[in-house]
Amino acid sequence: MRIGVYICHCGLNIAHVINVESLRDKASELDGVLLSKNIQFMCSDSGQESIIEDIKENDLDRVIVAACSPHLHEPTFRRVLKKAGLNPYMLEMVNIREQCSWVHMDNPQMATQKASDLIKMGVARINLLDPLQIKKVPITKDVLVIGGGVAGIEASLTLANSGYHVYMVEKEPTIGGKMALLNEVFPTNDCSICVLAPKMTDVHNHENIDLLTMAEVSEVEGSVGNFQVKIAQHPRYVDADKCKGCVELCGDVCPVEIPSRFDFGLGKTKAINLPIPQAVPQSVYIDNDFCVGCGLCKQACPADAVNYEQKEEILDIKVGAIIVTTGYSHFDATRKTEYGYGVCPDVITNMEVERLINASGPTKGRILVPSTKAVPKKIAFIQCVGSRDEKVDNPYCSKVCCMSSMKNAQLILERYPDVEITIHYIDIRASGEMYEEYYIRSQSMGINFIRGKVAEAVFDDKNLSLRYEDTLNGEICEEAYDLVVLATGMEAVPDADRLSRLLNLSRRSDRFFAIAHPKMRPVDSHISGVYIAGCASGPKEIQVSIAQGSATAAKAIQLLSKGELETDPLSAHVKTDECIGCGICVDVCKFKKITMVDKKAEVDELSCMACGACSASCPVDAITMRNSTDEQIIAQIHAATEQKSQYPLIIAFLCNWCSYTCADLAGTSRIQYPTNSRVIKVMCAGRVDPSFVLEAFERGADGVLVAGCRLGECHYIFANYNAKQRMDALHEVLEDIGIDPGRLRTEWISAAEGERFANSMESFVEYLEEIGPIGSEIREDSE
Amino acid sequence: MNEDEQDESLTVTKDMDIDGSHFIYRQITEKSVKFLDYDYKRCVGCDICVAVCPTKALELGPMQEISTGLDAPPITMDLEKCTFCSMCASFCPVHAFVMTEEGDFPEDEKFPEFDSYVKMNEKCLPCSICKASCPEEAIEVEFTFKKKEDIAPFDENQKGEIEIDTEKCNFCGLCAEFCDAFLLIEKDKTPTDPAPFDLLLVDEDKCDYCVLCQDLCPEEAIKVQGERRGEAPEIEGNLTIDESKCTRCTWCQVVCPYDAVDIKKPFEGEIVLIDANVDQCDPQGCHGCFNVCPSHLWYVPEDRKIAIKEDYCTYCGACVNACPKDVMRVVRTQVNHTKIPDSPWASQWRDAIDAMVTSQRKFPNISRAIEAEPEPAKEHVEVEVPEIDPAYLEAARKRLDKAKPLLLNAKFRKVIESEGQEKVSKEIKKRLA
Repeated sequence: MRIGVYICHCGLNIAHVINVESLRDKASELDGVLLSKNIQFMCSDSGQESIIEDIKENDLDRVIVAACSPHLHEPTFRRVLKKAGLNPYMLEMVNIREQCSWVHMDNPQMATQKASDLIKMGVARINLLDPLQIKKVPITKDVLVIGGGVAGIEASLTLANSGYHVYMVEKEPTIGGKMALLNEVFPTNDCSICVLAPKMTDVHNHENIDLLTMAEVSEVEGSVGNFQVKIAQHPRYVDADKCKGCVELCGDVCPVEIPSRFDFGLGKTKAINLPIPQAVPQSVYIDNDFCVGCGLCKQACPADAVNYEQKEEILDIKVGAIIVTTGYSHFDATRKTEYGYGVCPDVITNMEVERLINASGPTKGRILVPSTKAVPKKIAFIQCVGSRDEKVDNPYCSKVCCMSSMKNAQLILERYPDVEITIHYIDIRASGEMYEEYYIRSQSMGINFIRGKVAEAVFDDKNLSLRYEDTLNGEICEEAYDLVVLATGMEAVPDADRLSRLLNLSRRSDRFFAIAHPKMRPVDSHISGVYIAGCASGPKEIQVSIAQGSATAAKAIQLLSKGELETDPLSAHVKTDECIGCGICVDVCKFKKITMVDKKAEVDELSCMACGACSASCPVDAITMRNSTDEQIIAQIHAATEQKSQYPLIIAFLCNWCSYTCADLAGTSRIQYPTNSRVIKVMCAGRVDPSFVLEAFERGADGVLVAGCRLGECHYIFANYNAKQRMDALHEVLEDIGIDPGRLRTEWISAAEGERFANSMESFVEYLEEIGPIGSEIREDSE
Repeated sequence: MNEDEQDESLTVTKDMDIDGSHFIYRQITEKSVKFLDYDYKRCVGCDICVAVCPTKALELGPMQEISTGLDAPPITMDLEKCTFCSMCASFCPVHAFVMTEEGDFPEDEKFPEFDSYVKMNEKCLPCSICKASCPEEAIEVEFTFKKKEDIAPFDENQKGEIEIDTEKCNFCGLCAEFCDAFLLIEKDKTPTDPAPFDLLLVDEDKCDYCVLCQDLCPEEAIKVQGERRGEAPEIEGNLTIDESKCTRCTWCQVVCPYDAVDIKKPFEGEIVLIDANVDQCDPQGCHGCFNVCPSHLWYVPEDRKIAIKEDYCTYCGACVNACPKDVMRVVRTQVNHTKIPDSPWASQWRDAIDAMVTSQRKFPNISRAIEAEPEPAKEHVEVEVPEIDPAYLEAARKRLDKAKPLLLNAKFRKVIESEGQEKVSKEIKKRLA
């Protein structure tokens, strides 16, 4: 070992509290350390240069940098090593700023000792580091887009225009999604299908896009870069290439009348039909729920396009990335029984009123009261139907309904200037570009806005009225209306369960698909290589869906552009000889990256998330986490406890994502806490093998802290539950064997709770001081 | 539709004709004809067709009155709604509905039908019993063996004796087929005693004691003392079931002494008499179930008002519709049908088959559809062209001719492009002066 230790002053940030010269001297005495140096600012150009020079002159083979948090500069120093010709993984950063000098300002002596201990732990670890190699794996550059709505269309076109081949899979007979069914869209009141149809046609005609309608994804295997996907395409019973879309010829002779799904039941069509006039592909299909087999459509078709022999086809494709744009479904308004939807014919939903206003709809653009077929004189809109409503389990806001109702009200007024329109709302949400101005214009057009919840719709054969509260007057009122429109909210698609299981996607409590980070990663899913855009991840307006569609395309391009993928060397690895085939790891890995092959466990290292939960569960330690091996961790424990420099001594396992970051935050916020902890960074609390905890106690640690992300917010989704289960079990074991279980403390803490971390440290130290050093409780018992 | 499309379009017309007891519904296109023939006299009012019809085009009439004498068709059809899908014809248990078609239609194999048969196995001789027993006259037997006259022509001079062992004779009727000397006497057939014959007589004037009948009889029930002339033939013949008449009533299977009949009925099910209501039954006055039952299984026993021969039941349910007193309950538990091939109509046919058991049919719900009158096209009115004195335009043109050369002058153009208001006015005044 030829180790170089560099201690950064960081100006006065470190040097003010810690005696850096003494540190340097102590470090130089450690085994394997060839040189030990102080530098003012390690991250500066000169600091970096001096490391490179030293490496070359002294033939150093590994480098310790004792400075700020690795979260800040680890990549910087990895690059320095690479520049100097060393493997970038032969670097150990020791945090003596955020987690030492900044938080122990009133105890410089102990802070220095802690820093020295931390460096000792660093040296112990670095001695065991492997020069890890980044592996490169060839990948497929094709992309699968699931869902042909506006988000999927945007993603596909961006990808296709960039030269990537796209498979678009849509379960309906036409693409266009919900946007193709809208009439006009806010805030410009553009005709929805007019702006969408050219894009739909582009998708159909694009040489780089394979459009598969009436198709669903039935199986997904493999992982990022190399997904093997099975697609089931249901028969349309019409040859889409031959069908001219004349539809009247076959539709007129079909004897079976069915409700039109795309008109939400307000319109009729035939069993053979064109779903919307602008359908892409422009071909009819036979609805096989209702066709009776009369055989007339085949006779009527002049293009000989009807083919009863078509069968379901299974396609096998290989793609490198998957984009999920499955959209949303509408809240079922029958669930709000107080509004009478489904019972009173004159209570309709916002989508139904869209279809009425739409020139291609059942009434060709006229608003008619369903029971009388007359033009309504008074119309009411009720907002927040099925949204912001705990009773139907939808506490969230569906974002677009306020604007949508205002838009429909404006359009109705333009067509029928004498109609009186009232919008009953709880809050008006008009938060986008030019939305507030739209709201003001709605008011100036004469649309009434009444704030207050509508209690119920009261109706009989002839009359319909609403009983509602007007909060501004403080009155309960009842008003008769000809037509009531329910602004129903968005819900996750009914297929979401199946899609979740197919792709291993997780869902939020509102049942939409979860994205990797609500702020910083809005289009990434938790699964490598799978991206989400549009309403699949939550209610949003068309502009945002389009933006997300492009964003996922960019992400896919970023992933696939090099044509190969670099494996993260931090993956799990099974030492096959030692594996006893118990299969515990297979169940523990919730990402399903471990399989049994010939009775031995095997990890898909390319897509392994590297949480370490499997490694901690292995009874024979046959799974190692590269760069976070059991040996490295044990070495750190030994180094920390070799000379018990402080009482009480706490070994703290902090997870890379939340608790370590949280401790850093305490540092940047200068929140002071006791010096008693010696930190070992792991990727996840799930990495902590119960045997580490026992080892720490055995070596003399008085307390062990295992801290991970808050339950339900783990970076690896489930692994902190594994950790909790193990530590809970360990608590019991400790109690049973007579060791005070309070010596093992678990904390589930988010990266933003710096204050809480400091308090936790304080209270832990207090507790340990009270109960005495490790083992003292046994001696007391036996006395 | 434009003109071209109108030429290409298919016209579908439907009409109805009545021929005796047959209602013949037709669907005619340029490329095909479908005939749906409904024989209302065959119909028993079981209303299975009503259950399977995908568009509710069929309706059951007043079966209680019809079964006790009212001459009216049990089923009425709304021709507007009929899709000519042929579900009624495929699943009518008595073949009252029959569909024939000509033209471009999917093959029959693409549609499911009942998996039900009546077949005679190798034990069948054949003999005359089932043909005579069948209440629907659906069995035809053609005997192909040589008759007695062809083997041993009548010789009046022969003497001898002939005796029939009534214990052994099962009235199979082969001897009567073979030789004219035998007389088979028919009897009334009842559900409990379906056998068609109960007496076999020999007309000794016509018998010449050739002994051939003794050799022929499969039960060895004939004893002849006489001179054997020739050799008795092997019993052989062809038996055919008329599928348009057979209702799977099972009489042939029950009456066959040789266990030669294999039957698979179209339905599995259950029929029970509701004892509480049997008291109310008036079999002499009403007789409804007797009249409609295609299996002829109803009878009046000695000890009760009414009874059934359950073996015959095909679970069609006609009796239930005919009965004014709810005397019986019929339940179908299973439909035996051929495999439903993959096709656009498989779902509807599967639902039709299920409906025969559950009575629940999946209909498209168009109740919410709004049908609006199309708005009338606006009438175009030609505009009135204004009348203006052309002299005005002439005067204006003369003045305009002064301005036009100005614009051709480059210096002037430069002035108006770049100079300020005052300079431009000065320049214009200068040039127009």
